[in-house]
Amino acid sequence: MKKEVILYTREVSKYFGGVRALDNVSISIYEKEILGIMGPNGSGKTTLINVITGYIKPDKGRIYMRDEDITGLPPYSIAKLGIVRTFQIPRPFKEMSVIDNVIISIMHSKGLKNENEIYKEALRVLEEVGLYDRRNLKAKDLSDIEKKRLELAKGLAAEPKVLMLDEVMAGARGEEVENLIRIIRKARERGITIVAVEHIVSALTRLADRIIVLDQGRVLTEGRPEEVINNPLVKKAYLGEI
Amino acid sequence: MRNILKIKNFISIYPLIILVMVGVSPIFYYNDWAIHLMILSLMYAVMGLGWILLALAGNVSLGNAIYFGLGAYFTIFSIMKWNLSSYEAIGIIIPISSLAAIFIGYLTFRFGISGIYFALTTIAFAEILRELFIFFREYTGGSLGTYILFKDSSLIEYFAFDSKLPYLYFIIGFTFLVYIILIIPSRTKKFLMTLRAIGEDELAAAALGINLSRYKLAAFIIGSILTSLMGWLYIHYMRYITPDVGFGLSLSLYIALLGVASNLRLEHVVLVAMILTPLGELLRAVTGALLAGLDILIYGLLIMLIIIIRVLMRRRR
Amino acid sequence: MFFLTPEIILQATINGILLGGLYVLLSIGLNLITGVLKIINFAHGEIIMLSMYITFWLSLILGFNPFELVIPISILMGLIGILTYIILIKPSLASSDIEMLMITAGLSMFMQGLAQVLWKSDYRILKVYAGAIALGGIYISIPLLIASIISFVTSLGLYLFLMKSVRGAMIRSVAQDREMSSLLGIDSEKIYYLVTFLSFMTAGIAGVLLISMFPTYPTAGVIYGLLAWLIMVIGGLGSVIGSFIGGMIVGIAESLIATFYNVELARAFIFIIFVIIIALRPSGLLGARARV
Repeated sequence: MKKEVILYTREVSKYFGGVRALDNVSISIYEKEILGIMGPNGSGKTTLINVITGYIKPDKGRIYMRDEDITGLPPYSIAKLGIVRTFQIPRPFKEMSVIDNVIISIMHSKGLKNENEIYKEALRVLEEVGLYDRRNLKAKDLSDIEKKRLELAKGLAAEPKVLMLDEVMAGARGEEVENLIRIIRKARERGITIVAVEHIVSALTRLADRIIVLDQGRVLTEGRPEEVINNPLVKKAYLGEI
Repeated sequence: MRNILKIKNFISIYPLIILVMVGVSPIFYYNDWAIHLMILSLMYAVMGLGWILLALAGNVSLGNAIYFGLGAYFTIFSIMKWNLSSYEAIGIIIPISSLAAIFIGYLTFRFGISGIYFALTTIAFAEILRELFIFFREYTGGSLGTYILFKDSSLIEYFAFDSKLPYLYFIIGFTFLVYIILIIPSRTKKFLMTLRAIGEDELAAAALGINLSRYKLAAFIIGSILTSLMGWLYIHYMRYITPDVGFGLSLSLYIALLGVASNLRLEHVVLVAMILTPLGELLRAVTGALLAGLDILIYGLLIMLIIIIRVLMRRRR
Repeated sequence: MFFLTPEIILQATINGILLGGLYVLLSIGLNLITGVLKIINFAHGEIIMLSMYITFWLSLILGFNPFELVIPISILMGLIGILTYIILIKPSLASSDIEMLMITAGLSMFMQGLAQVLWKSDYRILKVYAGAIALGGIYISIPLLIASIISFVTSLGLYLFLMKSVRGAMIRSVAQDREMSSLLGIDSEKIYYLVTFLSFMTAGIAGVLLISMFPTYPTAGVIYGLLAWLIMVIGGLGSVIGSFIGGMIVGIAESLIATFYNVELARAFIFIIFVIIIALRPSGLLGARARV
């Protein structure tokens, strides 16, 4: 079955001073896949998200959504085009309630205008991530894991075409990981393409259809999860961390 | 059970009750001075509302007096130099204040000027205009200011009355209307929630597709229009303006103080204005006559106390 | 409008340079306290005004020449700074930027009111000798010259202190990163005291110099405070040299425009420069990226 490319980068590079955060990175993201991006610390994972979603401008290279060149667009434009990202350290709207956080996300994506519908949809999303009971609390009063779930909820609520998750599993253990995997898979069933950037390998191997490995700003390899984790180059890149 | 206002209301309705009470009170107790105070308080309240909109989005303006001054002076120009009616004057000041807001807003939001630098820029703009209006004294009367004289007292042409009551009911009605617009429509709720989100976290807001500059600009323009309309009202009521009163820093600071004292909550502005304004005027009348400067001294002291108490109470929590 | 003779332009420029040298001092204290304590001090102008008044009365009553009072007044103002720190600044350190701004705005109103209550709104001016040195066709006002020199020396002294001394290095490090500095064993509280002292002290000296030439009145602080802000922003937060350049720009611009047009336009023009700088280079010409 031929898969459509929904988002791709072409030779994207970004330098910070003398450091090559990204070096000639060309990747393709296929529609409705769950793509994992992994790599040791400093490999450029978050920078890649930042560049694709417009928070950082690349020094070289272009980014395309289907056929449209989206390089250099401001973050809100890219979000409006359907590419939504979450943040590694969750950024909830602290003084607003949990449900209001989700409501804002819904309000600014296409579709629902009616207050009733927006509210119902917000409840649905909260139920899905397991925050329904906490919906009237202020976001700042949530636990760290709950804040991560809220971050995910905001992303899902926007019903994006592509959802880029920045280390959404970080800090999660056991059952929480299972929960998150389940939620993300359900999102894909609704037609959302998922790009999950992770540092910890184990969760990614069960979640992703395909994994790209970055090391020092370059694409090291890509393939199915089983192939990638057994790849000696990948092991070496991670071992260098220890 | 159908609940139309499902999204929790951002503003409660008690200010409307206060407004009604104020409107009814002259029947029970008619006092010229009290009515004057209420008119002033509500005028400041409206300006406070306008200020809060942009403050919610994270930009604290300390130069909102610029729109007040523009509104007042251009009302004078419209009526006395260009022979327009009071109502046509509104048609002049709204575009002018909007243009000023767009100019300042574009400069600052596009360049990412925020925080204290934004505050300083707004101060600078207000000061520029204050100096310019003093400089062009042939047109503006310079630092001594200028009066407005209505050529005749026909209501169709001019919003000029001998009694205070029409002004009172106008400002009550206007404030009421502004609150209704802020409370009921869904669009306003979305607008206000978005402004708050921007004020909380710009990066997170942008990630959800929120166009930061556009919302900030909208808040700024709406605030400018509200403020300049108060300038219009002021000149019709007091009939006199000077560059210091119109563009002065103390006005800008007072508007900001109202917003801060209301905790950036739109519903508290009316109450806060109705407490602080009479206090300020009373202070000026009583102590200013006693000893020149005593009013400012006490006012400054009060401001420091109010804020420090707020800070200390937060620390205890 | 005068004729645009080269002599008048030169005269205005030289006046501007001297004035600029004096203006630098207005801003240095503000720059310090804003950069290190990270507070917005709206009352800086009023501190200058207070110093002007104190110098005025001491001069008048005790018969001193203001320049003789530079050192005692500077120390007095420094001590007032310490008092202000204890009473007002320390309790408010936990406040947000805007709250701090309102506190100092309240302080400035308080001081203006106090000045008016104590000394009325009359303009007070000292009769200092208004002699001038003639160099070619140019007249250099002696008080202005002396004031400018004292200002320059003080600014230089402060600059050397910040750059070369151990305490100065501590101040700079606390300005850059307070937590890191405390990890390195620097007591930031003591540094705060020191910086507040220096800030008030330099403002005090500026006041002494100003009263030797200009009148004082309760709202004099407004203009000088605003000028201090402008110069700080134009020159850049955290940079003494920037303050120097900013002071020069402001001094020369004001002198030239005031000579050929008038003072209000000069002020409006300076504000316009301010806005341009804020738009193009918010950190000022030489400033560090301030975490405000």
